[in-house]
Amino acid sequence: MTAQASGSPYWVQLLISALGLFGGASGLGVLATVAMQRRKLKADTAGALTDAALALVQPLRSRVTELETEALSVREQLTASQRELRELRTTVWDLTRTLQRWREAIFAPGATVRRIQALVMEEDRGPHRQRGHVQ
Amino acid sequence: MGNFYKRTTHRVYEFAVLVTAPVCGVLLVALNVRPQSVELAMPYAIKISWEFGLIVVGVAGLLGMFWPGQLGTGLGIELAAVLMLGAIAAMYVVAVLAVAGGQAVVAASFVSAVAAGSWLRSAEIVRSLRMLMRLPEAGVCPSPEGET
Repeated sequence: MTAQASGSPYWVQLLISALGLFGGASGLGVLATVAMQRRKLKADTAGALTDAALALVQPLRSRVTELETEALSVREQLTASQRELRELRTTVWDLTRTLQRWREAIFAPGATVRRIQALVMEEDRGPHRQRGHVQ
Repeated sequence: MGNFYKRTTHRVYEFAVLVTAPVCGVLLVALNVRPQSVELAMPYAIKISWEFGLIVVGVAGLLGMFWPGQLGTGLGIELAAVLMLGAIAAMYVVAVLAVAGGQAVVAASFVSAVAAGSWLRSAEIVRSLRMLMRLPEAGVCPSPEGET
């Protein structure tokens, strides 16, 4: 072959040596970098996983707590409103009955002012105390 | 550690080359033969490190490919290996072209394909590593089962 003639050129050896140096240096450099950044890379894969998950979950968790307290207070308000509504309905019922009785008394055939006054006086003390407190 | 099938199917060519490299290096050392081009074109020290480089690079590359620990570490080892593999293949291309010239077209083409592929793969790994480092800042989790 003509190998001996063309194999010797200086630039070929130089090029090969340069490539070899480049390969070796870059490989070792990368290995060194990886060894140095191992911790960081580790944090990136496994550690970051939990960190990222926590970071994602944390605001959601606080939001849930917030909403829970809010729901609780709303439920309390609802119960209070329902109680108030019940009481008001009772009061209205009582008042309607009272009005009806008075009306009957007023339009009764032998109605006199005195008799009506006596009735109203009596009711003031009596019947509408029977259903708890009235607002 | 992902299963063997999943890891190799995506990179069959790389796997084949990385398996071939140490086999080739061991054969060269064991049989004490060298291609004429290598013998003629490379200085002695480079020649020796070229031979052992083949073995080291293949083993390191496979190690990186199937690294059981952190994904980042495995990728780093693989990156070092494919960078060196590219250099080793390119060295052989230069040697064989310088010595055999036009007769070495086929060998030079295929081996330079190995070099180009290795360097492309190393660029890809660099991109992956960079992405891996940005993941926590973006608050995204890398999928834990599929890749580590």
